Amino acid sequence: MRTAIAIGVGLVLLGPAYGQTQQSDDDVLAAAESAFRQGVENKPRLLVARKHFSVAVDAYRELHRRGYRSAALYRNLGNAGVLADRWPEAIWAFHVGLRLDPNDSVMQEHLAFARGKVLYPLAGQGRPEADAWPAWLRRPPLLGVFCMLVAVYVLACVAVTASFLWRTTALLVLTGLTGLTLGALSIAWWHVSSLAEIDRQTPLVVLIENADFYRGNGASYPRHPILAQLPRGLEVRQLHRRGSWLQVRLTTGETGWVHRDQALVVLP
Amino acid sequence: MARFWLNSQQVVRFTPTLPLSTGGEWRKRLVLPFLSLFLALVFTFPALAQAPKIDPRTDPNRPTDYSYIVGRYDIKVSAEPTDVEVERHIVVRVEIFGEGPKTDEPRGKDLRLFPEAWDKGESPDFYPPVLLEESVDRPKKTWTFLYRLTPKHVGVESIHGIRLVYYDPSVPDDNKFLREPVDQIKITVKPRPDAPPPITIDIDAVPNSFRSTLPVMLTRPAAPFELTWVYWLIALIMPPISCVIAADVYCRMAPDAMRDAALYRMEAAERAIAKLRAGECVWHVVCAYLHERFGFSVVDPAPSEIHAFLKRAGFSLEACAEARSLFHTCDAIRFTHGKSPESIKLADDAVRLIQTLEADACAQR
Repeated sequence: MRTAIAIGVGLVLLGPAYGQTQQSDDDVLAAAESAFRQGVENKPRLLVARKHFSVAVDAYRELHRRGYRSAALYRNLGNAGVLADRWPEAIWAFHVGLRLDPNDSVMQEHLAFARGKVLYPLAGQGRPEADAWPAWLRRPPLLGVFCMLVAVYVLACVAVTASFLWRTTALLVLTGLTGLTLGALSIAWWHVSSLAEIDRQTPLVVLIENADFYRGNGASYPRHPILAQLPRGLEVRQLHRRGSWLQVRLTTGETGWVHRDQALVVLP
Repeated sequence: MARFWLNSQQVVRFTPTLPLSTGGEWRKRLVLPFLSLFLALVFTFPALAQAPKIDPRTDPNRPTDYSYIVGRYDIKVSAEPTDVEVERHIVVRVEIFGEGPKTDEPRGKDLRLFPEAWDKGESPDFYPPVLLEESVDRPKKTWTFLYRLTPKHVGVESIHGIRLVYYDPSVPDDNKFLREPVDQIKITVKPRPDAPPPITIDIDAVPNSFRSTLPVMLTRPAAPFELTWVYWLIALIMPPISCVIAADVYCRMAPDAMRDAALYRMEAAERAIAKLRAGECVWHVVCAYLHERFGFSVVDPAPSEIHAFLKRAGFSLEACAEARSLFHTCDAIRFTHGKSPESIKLADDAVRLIQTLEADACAQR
């Protein structure tokens, strides 16, 4: 009898919580889209709109937490983040989205817009580095470059063999062209793979709030002599992680520690 | 410390041994050196008088902080404000007084007033100084330069290390590069006040593209593709190997004339042995073999000619002798109308000769 009562009480207590965790992924997505729509509809009412956009941000982040990855998800999350005045999260979302779809020009523009809100130090520390990749050139994914490299390599082998067999001018020209293409693709491969390696070894970190910049992994350490506090939205590189602290490096070379809760890591 | 003791017997006495006997010899001996010295002075004096003028700009001994100024100058430096926050700017006013050739007057781009590490951005205390303004007041012979200096941290207490290095040709000393140091200027660097309140975005100022969403497909990412060394190895090795195999197959399927000829030569031995086994005339078969295989073109050759040909081609002496012997026998049979008792084993000898020639390294070339 006592056992039955205990089970009954347990069910009553755990029931709502169980029901909450059972909210399906589709429901979360629907809630996010609904909140975003309501935010747009309430444009004249600034605070109400922000609240809806903020709900959308939370819902999209919940989908991210559940392991869903798509460029559209992060673009929506970033848009909602900007409109909810949570633009540091928007910077993070656009970065993750651009990892999935590096050629999304809209997302690139939105990232630039959100970056414009960062209050960089007067001496310019931590400003993002200029992108070396030409804007007009599509960014191929790593696997795509590898496939192209292999295809051109095969073509070059065939061209060399054919030139050896028949020795015609056209074939020699084709061999030269494939060799040049192979060289260009090798450079592209080197560039893309070195960027991927940098991202793997020192992942990008976006500060979601103004973060105290310490010399060590703890608040008892002195603050950085030049930059006592880092502005929200600043993009830095993670060097090490120790407990709840991240050792980060700014683009201009300054190194220090920030608390993990104040940062979002752009995982490759 | 080592000490050396010399006794009186070890002391070497220097005794002049000049011939002092006659005054005339003395004069003769002294005239020549003095005359030489006099002539040397006479000829080198104009050259010394016209010694090349030193250009301080290209002088290899010029100091690295030489400011490319020639003449007599003085320097005065002041800073405003001297009480600043970290990373706020201080304006350093540098006044240079003096005169010199107009071509080597003070110029902002040439001045090396600050320590080299500051200009390179390697100073722990200051960011690289920036020249804001330069002006000249010729009646007063004063050049004024305004620099922006930015302290990096609160530990900076003074501006020191500024100096003017110029070239004064009127200085009698060998080193005409003069250094005019400047007294240090005390400054106070305070920490900056807290960061300003966080910036907020005005929703109305956000572009409309932010207000649209894309349809989201709830897909979980596939396992990331890892490019292991196996893929690289396959990608690197497979194409050339495939091409080599394909080229070989193609050559076998569609041989060209040169390859045909080579094959024909290579198969000459097989054809000859088959004919010998079929009982054809040994002499004809072997002659045809030598022609097809090695290009022997003599019509109706004598044994010595065959011997000489094979020897010239580099075959072993045993093979050459064997061929001559075979052709001797052939001749004997030919000229006795096939009635020689050796005709029975002649075909076997010919086969053996062909095999010997094929096995010879010379035939493999």
